[in-house]
Amino acid sequence: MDSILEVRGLEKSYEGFTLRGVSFSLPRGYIMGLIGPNGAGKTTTIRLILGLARPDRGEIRALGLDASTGGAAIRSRIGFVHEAPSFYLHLTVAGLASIVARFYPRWDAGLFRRLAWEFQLPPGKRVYALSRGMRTKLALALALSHDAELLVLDEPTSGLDPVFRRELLERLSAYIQDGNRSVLFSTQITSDLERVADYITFIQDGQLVFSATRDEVKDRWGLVKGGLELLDERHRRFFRGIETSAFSFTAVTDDVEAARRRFSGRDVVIEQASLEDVMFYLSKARAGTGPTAEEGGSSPLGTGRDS
Amino acid sequence: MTDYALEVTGLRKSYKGFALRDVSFQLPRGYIMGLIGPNGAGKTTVIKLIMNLVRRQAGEVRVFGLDNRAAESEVRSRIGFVYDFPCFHQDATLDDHKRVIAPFYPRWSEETFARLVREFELPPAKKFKALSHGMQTKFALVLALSHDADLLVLDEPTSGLDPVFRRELLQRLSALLQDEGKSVLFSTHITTDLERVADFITFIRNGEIVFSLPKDQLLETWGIVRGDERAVAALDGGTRKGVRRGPYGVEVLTSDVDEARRRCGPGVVVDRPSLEDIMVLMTGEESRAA
Amino acid sequence: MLRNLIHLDLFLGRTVLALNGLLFTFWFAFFLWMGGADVSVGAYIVLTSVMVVFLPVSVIIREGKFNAAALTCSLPVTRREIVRARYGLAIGLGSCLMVVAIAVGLLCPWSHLAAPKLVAPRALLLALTMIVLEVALLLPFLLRFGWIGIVALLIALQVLGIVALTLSRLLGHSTPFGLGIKALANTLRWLYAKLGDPIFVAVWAAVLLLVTVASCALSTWLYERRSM
Repeated sequence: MDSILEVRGLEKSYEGFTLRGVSFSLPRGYIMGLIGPNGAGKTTTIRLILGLARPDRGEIRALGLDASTGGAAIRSRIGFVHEAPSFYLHLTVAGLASIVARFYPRWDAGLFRRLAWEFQLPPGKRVYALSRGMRTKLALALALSHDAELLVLDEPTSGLDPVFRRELLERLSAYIQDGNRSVLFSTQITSDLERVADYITFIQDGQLVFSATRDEVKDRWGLVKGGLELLDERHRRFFRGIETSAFSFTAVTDDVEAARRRFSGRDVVIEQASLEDVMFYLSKARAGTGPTAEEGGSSPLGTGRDS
Repeated sequence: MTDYALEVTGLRKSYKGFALRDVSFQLPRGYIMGLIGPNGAGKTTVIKLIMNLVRRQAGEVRVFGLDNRAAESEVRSRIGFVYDFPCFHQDATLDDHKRVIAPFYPRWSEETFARLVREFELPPAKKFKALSHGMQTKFALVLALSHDADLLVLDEPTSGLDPVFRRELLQRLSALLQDEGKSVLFSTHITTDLERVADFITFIRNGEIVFSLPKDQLLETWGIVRGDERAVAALDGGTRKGVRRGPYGVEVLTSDVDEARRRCGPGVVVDRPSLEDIMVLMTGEESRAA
Repeated sequence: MLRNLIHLDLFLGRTVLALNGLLFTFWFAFFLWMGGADVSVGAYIVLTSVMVVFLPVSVIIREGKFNAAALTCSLPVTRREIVRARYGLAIGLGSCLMVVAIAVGLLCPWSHLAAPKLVAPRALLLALTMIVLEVALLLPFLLRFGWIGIVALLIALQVLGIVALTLSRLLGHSTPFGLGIKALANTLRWLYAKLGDPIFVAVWAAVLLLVTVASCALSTWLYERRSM
């Protein structure tokens, strides 16, 4: 399987934060979404992939190159979009493009001009005069104009209205159409992921919770709702996260099939969990009402690649 | 006689290159209204006009029956606000801000403030500029929620916050409504949040109100017809709200699902729209105001 | 509310206040040292009273730097109250620093200023006059345009000063600039003399009050129309 990006056993410690045991891979021609609470390690992971920081342990291979040795080469073949540009504000669109062009040997000026036209970015307009959404589109146009095989975006849709967001997502879908290029993007807006992501990687507290296809997530993760009396020690350990109220509980499980068997004949509701539900109820685990990602619970999705 | 938390009538304001025209909507007491619209549509301007940060050129704004200019002080003493632009002193901490702001509000609660700071995990002694974007948003929320405000006016209060916190915030807002009869005006781009808690949805575009309707009515009587150009033609008329042509066919937004079914025939597929669908379909070619 | 507003500015600007207050104090002492015996009470009073207003200005402009004016204007206060509080702050704080300036003039071992003259009612009233007039002039600018307005004003005055100096150099001493300075100095001397007369003082106080009220009204009108 030709993976455009492979991450294995990534570890990185900063003061007060540790990233550990992160592994996932992204095949060519697909979009992977990276989600997780603020401070979970998404940006750290992206920085490690781009070779902007060195991992304490672990391996990163991108575009067939080892990130620890071929960092510069990797970066010249990755298009990176990181929020809307807040630098070089006084430059015009064309001016900024000419500066960025110098960093990339495969810069295609004609492509940039076409994209700028499509995105409705006047070449003579100054960056400070562009709205936030327009600046994000500019960043995307710049990232797309040097024949990058991998697009990495860090929270590109934050602060953008749904119309812009949908346009952006459609462009990402179009980008991977040739089957050779891929996209990795991190976001807080899970509905965006549900729209375009083929793979979902969820990081929480510096650890990988799962990395799987969207369908796998949909099929295997679910919410179980029932009366509190049904919740004993065994069941508590089975769930990945639980929220209780006065009389009932809602819990998230990564093995819906097992949940159905466990609670067959009982008065519970088992339903599909949205990504947001998964994130929400997993966060409850941290409060000590359920197992963490490390211990307990069956973990068929663990750190797996697609089968 | 309905009790309104907020009544906006015929509001007008023009700037160079942008104009707000005849903006009118009402928020009954005890409900949440979501304000949606593309960037630059005028959401922030409307909020500034409600807070009288900007002087209106025409129209009226009544909060709990009081004019927001004639009774400026009293009105704002009952409003908790969060803006989508930074308005705090960068070198000051949360505690500093609390010390100077609290005396202005007769119903300020130290207890509520302390509890929220704890629950939101905010560092009270850290300077505003040293906080992350999400923390800065929480900062503003804590101040807005600590003086028993009857009306909360929130402009993008969830920007930069993860889904977990957002959901908890929404739960908190819902509780405020149910338990204490508070009202909320909430502008956001994250329409899924509104689908979860809003009672009313007001859509503003290019400085004009396109619709202001109960959310349930919107999501139940509006629909998306997926088909081809024939559908577009068949649905021509006042209830056709937007059209989008894509590589897989045409999507037509209608404000009357029953009528759409009548016009297009029994085999037509009509999907329930999400708020995002409505926004996207109404911000493009051939969309008309309700 | 006025008290809360003043507290807001003072508390949030306490570092700037302390720093600048100290700086000014040193400057007063330094000026006395540099000037030696050439510094008359009148000159000292006029100069320091012009300077002291910049302490409250430095506190008030912080809001502009941070776009925090929107915060103040979102509180349950009217713009009129905000403006009034600022005038109170400016005159009050300026006067406090003036007291410090006088104290420096009295206590500095190298000060050649005659103590009785320095604390005479005339001197104090002259100082108050300068402060009030300066506040009346600066605050409308400050409140309407923020710190940019003040900077622009100061730059304009500098430019004016340079132009005038150049002209005077080219055209000799009896130039508009030279005449202007002489006229100003004469006016101040006249005022100083008149301030010994109690009736004049009463009238003058009323004039100052009127000027302040008028300036405050103008500032309010401007500030109410300012978009945040």
